[in-house]
Amino acid sequence: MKKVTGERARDGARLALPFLAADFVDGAAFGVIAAGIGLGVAGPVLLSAIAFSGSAQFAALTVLGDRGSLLSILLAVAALNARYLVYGASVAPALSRNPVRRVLEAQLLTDASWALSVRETSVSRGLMLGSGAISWIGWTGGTAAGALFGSAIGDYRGIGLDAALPAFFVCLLLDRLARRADLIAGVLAGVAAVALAPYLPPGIPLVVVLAAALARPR
Amino acid sequence: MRWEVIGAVAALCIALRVAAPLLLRGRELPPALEARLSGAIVPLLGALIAIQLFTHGGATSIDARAPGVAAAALVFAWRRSFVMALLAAAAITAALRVAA
Repeated sequence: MKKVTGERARDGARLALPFLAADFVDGAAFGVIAAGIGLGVAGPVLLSAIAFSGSAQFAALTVLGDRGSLLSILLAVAALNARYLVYGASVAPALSRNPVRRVLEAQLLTDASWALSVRETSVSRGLMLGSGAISWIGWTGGTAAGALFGSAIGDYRGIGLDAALPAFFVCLLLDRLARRADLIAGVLAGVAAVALAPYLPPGIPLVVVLAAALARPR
Repeated sequence: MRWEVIGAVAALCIALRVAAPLLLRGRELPPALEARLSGAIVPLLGALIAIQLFTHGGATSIDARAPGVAAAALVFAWRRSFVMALLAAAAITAALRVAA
């Protein structure tokens, strides 16, 4: 049974603050592209606020741009976000007992808020809610700015902000390496995911790695 | 944006997030499954990092972010500071792009 630790949402927000800017520019990139293919402002902003999933939303744009069907969009989103089923299961013990609040709190699950709040033997509601809220503000605000002001936002990659999210995950990984076997498992998983990527639709390599990790003999 | 697309994508994203918390309600996961989920954290992080850093549109690729992220790893191992590590990643990546 996982221990539920008592950090405040403020603690999670403070930890996530360094990549508020990165979420903002990612959101702005989504807003710029969405508005650029004629999707307006309200639609993309609403989608960012509710779906709150960069990979799924960019995939939806790509399929829309190729005049793909709604079914193919949903298949792509399901593949990209299937891992959220596992994230949801691992944070469940820490969420509110009230079903409505539970649903609202689960909306703040992201790769980053999950990775920050779930540890081997514990899970923190505060860290998840605080860091998820910061990402939500950055992502949704960025989408609005990008959709409204378009290319005036400029190319953020020049200032290296796109390295912030992978760097953050590397820090979280380093923070969790207790045994040499962990390092080997992490590196193997990375190599496998990259090796599978050319042959599988986006998102599926993560699902394959996740399935292999769950099925691994212990 | 086509509203049916917004509605469907949003509904699916919500469903994937809330499915497990709602189905489990207050119940604990079986300890064996719990242990497996915990064991999957590090591999999943490894895969997320590698996919972001070393693939582009499915093809294997590498760019200035990789040395930036390596610098972040060194800074984090040295000072255990997320802020300093992320600043190092952005600074090295930007510097390499300016130099290129």
